[in-house]
Amino acid sequence: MAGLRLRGVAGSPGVALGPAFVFAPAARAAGGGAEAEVQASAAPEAEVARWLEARARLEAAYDRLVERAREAAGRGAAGAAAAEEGLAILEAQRMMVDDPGLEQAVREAVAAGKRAEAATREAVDRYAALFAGLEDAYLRQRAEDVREIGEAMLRALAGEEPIPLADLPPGSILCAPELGAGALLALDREALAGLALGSGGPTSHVAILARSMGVPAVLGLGDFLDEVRQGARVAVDGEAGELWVEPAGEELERLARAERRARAEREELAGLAGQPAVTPDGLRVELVANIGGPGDVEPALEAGAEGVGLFRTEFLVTGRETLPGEAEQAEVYRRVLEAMGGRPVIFRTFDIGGDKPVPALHLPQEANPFLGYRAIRIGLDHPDLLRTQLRAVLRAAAEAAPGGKGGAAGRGGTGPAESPARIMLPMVATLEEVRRARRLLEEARGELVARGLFPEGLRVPLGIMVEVPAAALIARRLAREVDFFSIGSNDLIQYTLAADRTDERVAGLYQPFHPAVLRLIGLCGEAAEEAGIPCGICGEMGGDPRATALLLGLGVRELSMTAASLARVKREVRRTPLARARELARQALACATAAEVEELVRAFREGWTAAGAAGGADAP
Amino acid sequence: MQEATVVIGQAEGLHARPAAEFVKLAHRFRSAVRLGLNGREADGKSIMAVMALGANHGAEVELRVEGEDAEEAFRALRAFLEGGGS
Repeated sequence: MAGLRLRGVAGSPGVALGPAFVFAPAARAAGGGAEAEVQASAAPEAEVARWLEARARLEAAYDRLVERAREAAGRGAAGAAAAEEGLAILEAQRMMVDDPGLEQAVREAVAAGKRAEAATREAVDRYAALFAGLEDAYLRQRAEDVREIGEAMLRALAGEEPIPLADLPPGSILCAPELGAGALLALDREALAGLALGSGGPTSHVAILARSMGVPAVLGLGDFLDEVRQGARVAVDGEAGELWVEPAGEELERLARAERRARAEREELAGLAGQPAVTPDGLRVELVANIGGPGDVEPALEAGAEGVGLFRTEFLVTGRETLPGEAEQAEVYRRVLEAMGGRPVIFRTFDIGGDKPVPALHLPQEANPFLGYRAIRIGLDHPDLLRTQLRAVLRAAAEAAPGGKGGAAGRGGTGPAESPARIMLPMVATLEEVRRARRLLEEARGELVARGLFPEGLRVPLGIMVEVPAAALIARRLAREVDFFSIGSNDLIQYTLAADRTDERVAGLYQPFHPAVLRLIGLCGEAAEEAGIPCGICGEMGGDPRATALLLGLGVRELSMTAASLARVKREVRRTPLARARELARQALACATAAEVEELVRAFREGWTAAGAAGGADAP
Repeated sequence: MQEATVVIGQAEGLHARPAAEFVKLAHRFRSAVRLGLNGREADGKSIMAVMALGANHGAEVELRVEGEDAEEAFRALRAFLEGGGS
């Protein structure tokens, strides 16, 4: 009566209710293997030719998908982040299709009398087993990619569409045994309301993509398709990790309510687009975006970003064999400044080393790269590299503001005009590093002034990223010598708790709400307020609405995040009186554990989910 | 033929993106490229084989290059593996 509840794992949050669209293209790797193998191949050359022809079709199919993803990424549409994520996955898979090792394995098997299908299956199994046996978690997951390619190849051999695309009626819940990243990206996003899959887990490609597309998803449902008729009414509960088949009575009402709430939230958020980020008691908070290149500017502006709080400039150097010169860099920086139309842009100097290798620098190997040679340490050790970048930012600042006019959000003070361009040093641990970097900045400015490329009166603020606990602990001294702080919460948490969140065995120790982390943030907020400089945050905490009130209470006044998070955080700001945020922060700092803080935050925010629709958005 | 033991200097090891970059670089040359690690051997032009080698940062791999442009290819590939440019 109440419908059937199937348990899976939560893949992507949200609730969606709609007709099931069962999409089960015959899985080929498992079935049909045995009889195909016993059929001896008559003409090996013909089998190889058939395989090569199938591969060419698969390549073409991938090329179309890559093209599509590239267009979506370039358009900066709502799913731009998803498209970019998808693009990297697709390009890697495209390379695998072309793999000469795969071809050779197939050729050998065919020469030994196998048909192309059996040969493909054998080669794919071999590679998948190879990956599945590796120690590295990321590489183990690549077994998934290999199998996906194998399936597509077998479909191509059968004369079917290699990457079948579901033709979804609008509002559908797609129910499938599995779905590759490519197939998901190829779906009509408008028609897809939710996703229920037999395979996959929270870290699989399809989950990552669903989250960035904002599609509720339940994964790992096993053989659930036996229970789902085509067109049956189903509900995906992406929070609980459950799929309901034909829910009825109270359960249906609850799910429908949850779905309505999710839809109302989307509409409410859309309605906030033109509104300022002001707390009910009048504190203006700056909501800005993290970007990784000029292509991210448009989506950031569309989402209402008031500036760029973190421009990750490393894309200019990572993976490159030669380093970009001053003019090339200046051109990129100028384009971003101009596209932002006078809004502030914080350029973080190259945050390289660690997990971001730069072939051109011949960086030495290290046992512990995250505590090693990276970021500002490399910059100060390669002053030419840093000076070149500093000159490029200064030149861009001068070119973007020929009249030397101050930025739209000029941060007080009369004195010389302030450029919207700001420079931020990553991974600062000591005051000496700041002083040395400032000297390099002054040298760079002097050289440009001498070359007539920079106006005397223009001021480009210099700030630091606070991500090393040592920096937070001496925030008061640092605040006297820098123009702003921006808390890099990801590294700050990792260094404070000594836990690498990508290592699943210790990921549980990576606790953003740990009182130690909050205290360090509080030190920065206090010191910044005393010194009269702005304190921002540009790690993932900045975009987490659960952290917003705490951060405001701790003295953070600029929140930088991916464009997709801006609306939610704005809503949070608009319903959080500063006075209450301060009280919350005070209580949180007195907590002993992250769990206690989380409970405090949950209770603090509970009123909103109930009263949210009533008046949250219109609060004065 | 050019041959040497090279210590992987790429911070993330020869995984994912570095592996793809290595294979792309290897494809620029005509010579055959092989990588050996712990008694296993991989075709340097095969993304799957290179990734499946699972060479971590600091691993000692055997780089073997054979063919008409072996010298140039060897120099470039070795520099890449060591974490330098090509």
